[in-house]
Amino acid sequence: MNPEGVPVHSIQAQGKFSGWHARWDRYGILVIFFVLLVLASIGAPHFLSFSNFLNVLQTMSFVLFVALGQTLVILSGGMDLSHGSLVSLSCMATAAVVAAGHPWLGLLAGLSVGAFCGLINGILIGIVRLNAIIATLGMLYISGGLALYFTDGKSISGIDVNKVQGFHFLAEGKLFHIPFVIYLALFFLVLTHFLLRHTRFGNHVYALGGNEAVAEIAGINFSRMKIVIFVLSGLSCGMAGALLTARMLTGEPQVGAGTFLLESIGAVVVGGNDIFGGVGNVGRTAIGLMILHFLGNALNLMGISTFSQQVVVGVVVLLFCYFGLARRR
Amino acid sequence: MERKRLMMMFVFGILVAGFGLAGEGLVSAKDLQIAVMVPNGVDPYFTAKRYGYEKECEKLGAKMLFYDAGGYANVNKQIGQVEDVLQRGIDGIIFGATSTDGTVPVIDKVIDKKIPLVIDNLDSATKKPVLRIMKNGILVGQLRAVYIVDRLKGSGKVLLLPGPSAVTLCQEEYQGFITYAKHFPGIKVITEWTASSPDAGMKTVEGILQANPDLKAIATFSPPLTVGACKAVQASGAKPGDILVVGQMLDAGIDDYMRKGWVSATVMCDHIEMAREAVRMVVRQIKGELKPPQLVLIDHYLVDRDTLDKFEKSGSSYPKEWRR
Amino acid sequence: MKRKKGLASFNWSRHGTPLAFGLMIIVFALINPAFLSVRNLSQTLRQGAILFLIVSGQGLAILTRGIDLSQGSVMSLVSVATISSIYILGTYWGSLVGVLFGGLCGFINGVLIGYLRIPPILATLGMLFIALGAELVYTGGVTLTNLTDVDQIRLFWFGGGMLGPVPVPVVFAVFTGLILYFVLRCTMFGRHLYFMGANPDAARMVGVKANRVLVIVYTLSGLLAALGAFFLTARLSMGFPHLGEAWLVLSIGGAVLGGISILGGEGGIWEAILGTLVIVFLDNGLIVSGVSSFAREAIIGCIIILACMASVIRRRS
Repeated sequence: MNPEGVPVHSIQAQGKFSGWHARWDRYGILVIFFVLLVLASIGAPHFLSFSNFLNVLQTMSFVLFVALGQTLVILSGGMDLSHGSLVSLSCMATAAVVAAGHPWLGLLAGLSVGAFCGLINGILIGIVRLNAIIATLGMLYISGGLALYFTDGKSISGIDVNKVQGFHFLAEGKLFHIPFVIYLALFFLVLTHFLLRHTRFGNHVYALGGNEAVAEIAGINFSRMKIVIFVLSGLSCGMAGALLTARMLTGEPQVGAGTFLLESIGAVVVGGNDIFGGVGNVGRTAIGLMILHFLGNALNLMGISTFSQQVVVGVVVLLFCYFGLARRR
Repeated sequence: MERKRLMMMFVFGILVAGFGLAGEGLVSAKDLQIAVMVPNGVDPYFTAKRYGYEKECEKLGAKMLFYDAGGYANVNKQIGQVEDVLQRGIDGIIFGATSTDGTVPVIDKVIDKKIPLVIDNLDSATKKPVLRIMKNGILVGQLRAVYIVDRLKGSGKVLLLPGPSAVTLCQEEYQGFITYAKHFPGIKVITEWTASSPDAGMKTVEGILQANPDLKAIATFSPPLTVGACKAVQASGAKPGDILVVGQMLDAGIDDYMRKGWVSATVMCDHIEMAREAVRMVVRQIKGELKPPQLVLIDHYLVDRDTLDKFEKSGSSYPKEWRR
Repeated sequence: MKRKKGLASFNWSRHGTPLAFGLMIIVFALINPAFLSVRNLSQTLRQGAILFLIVSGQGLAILTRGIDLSQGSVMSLVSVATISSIYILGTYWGSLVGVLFGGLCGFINGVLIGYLRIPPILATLGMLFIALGAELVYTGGVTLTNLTDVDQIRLFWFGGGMLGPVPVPVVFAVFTGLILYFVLRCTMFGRHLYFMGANPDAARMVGVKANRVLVIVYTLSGLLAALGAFFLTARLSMGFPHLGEAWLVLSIGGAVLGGISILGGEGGIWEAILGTLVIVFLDNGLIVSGVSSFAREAIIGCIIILACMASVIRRRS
């Protein structure tokens, strides 16, 4: 949300002044991550192992796609609440097509469903000028309901692993002992980074997030931008959903209803991006997501129950917010 | 500036990898280690079973590692937990799936690695040979149907609240009920899939009662839904027993409602004994005494007001002092 | 100003939702006359009273350009806290303590948002996790029942009892609605609240103490959610650790449907009432008409979007 009339001093916040304050702005999050790793290694048994790290990174990769999409939306001053449900819907769509015998068409189906819902979001927000929160909230409901509706709430099974080995490999295969999905996630991370930092589109995204009114005056087409941004966001959910189908070889109608949305927003915030938009980058989101996942992993290994973990995550997100905002002032 | 940042990222990556490699091989194990993985630890069903797992592991001299996926939607997380357990090395796994089909690939991996595995109640639809101990969902549904059809003498309107549609057990209980009731054309069944919460149950039953004032019986999946149904029936002015309510288990004060006549009967199972049996099964498999595939279906029995104090409670309840 | 002709002359944005509501009632009544029975209306209004309390709390937060995502978890927490406190302190004191827990959560939210300047969406999100985690750890997910008979009867009166021909929660809701209406329209605090929502910078320049207002707003939001949970818990006679799960989306939906603009500064108690009534009667109507549970979710989503389009169009014209 970028409340109208609230000036955002994005140039200042980008850390262009010198001194240790600026350096903390830019690298502080890495320090925090390292401290977390050290603490976890001491406190959690079996944390410090290559296999554990790879495992966490593999599970995290699925969420990273969604977080990348969310980063795009938040940087441009909006927010996408439909992420969880879109993942579920794409998963179902992919599974339906894969079960019919066409794995790669299934991947396309998942991506298309995500992009199409993103398009609807984009139109509602860019042309009808609905508030992003409302539009995506409604989409959350609708796509979530749809995911359940088509199969009466049952999952789509019957995918033979032997027939779709290539497809399954995307999510579970290993290249040089590292899960393939990690490579995929890295690839998209770099791609999104390039998109944001080295294209005109990326510039416009930041401009929109910085100050919408000024951006429009400067000639940026608000409607078109919003549509493209939300299509990309939906596409990222489609990717995550399709890959989940590849991992589970099943269509689960509520697979996205868990923590996808919370993690996608949480990662963006914890990483140090400005929740109001205009400042930040995907690298920060990636680190934010890693912090959340490694923290959860450490707590799990320490035997801390899932509900206690929730308390910890809540406190951590709040702390990051506070420090992030103190920085902004 | 760009290059400097890239360098930093590279160094960072190397450091993390270094940490990882340094830590490899610090793992060691002594007693038998058994990983118990449940899909939804907050469910009182699983809280109770934890008691069973814990005590039986203690008794058999095994160390229990408890993993909670945190909810049926967290399939991805549970898959990660299984992979985690595979990596660190474990002697046996007791597994309750978040998703019947979604966990198949990872469970297949466990079986391929020849790690002793018992699937406990929440099934994973793997086709490979595995030990299973399961509730008999179809039987549960049928028991409810038998009681109701019998009491209603073969004709009347029945509301079925099977619970959330995404849960396979609910689907099974639904099937069991419907296929039995089908034999009696005088029994008309209305089905409402809801979340397993008391306010959803109450609101749904209230609405259905309005549209169907001649409703004679309600069959519910879980204690929260049972309570909600009772509250709605009470509010409609009916007297205890006017509308039969048949639920499952005795948590959430259902025994009290039964004594007062609002709940007519409930389907029970010895879930804690089931947990103990799962531990015994996996230990026997570790020792080579038990080989897959095996399917153990636990019993279910119907309890009503007359038999409420007469059935053996040790298999389904834990002492009050025990805290997880 | 040109005079619009025919259909266009009808003020859709202002009267659209009430008209839709009226139409909906008629359609449901036609499908099943039982929909309009006294008992059904009374039961639905009882549910509406609970939702109204929660929606007005959310509405207050939204009016100041914020949001309260913790309402669901606070409800769960209060349900558990109320029953636990009743075990120790008896019906009346126990109930009070339980509700105050909700106020406490709201107060913490208010301080985080008003003084520490954390954005409402994030502060209340954190509180969502903390409240939920705390009460789940405390109960282990187990429902709290075992009230003594005396306590249960006394408590039940609040949720399920009647004052004359009217359900108790409805009386309470009306009373609360009147007070809130008065506060919003006739006090300085109310004026400041609207000002802050409409134009935060101007408000600050004029000397409105934003931090104090925000603390009060979120404390009220927590208290109102707590009261909603209290009446629900009283009616169910149990502390259910997941009570609030489904209610958060309804509270936001109810506020927005009724016409409280998500952008802040616009709307009030009437809008909260309208939104509440639409949701409870829509839900009840669909059940009584026999519509499948899955279709219900999708329908509610569509309605939220349509209602919002109406509110945005109103803003633009």
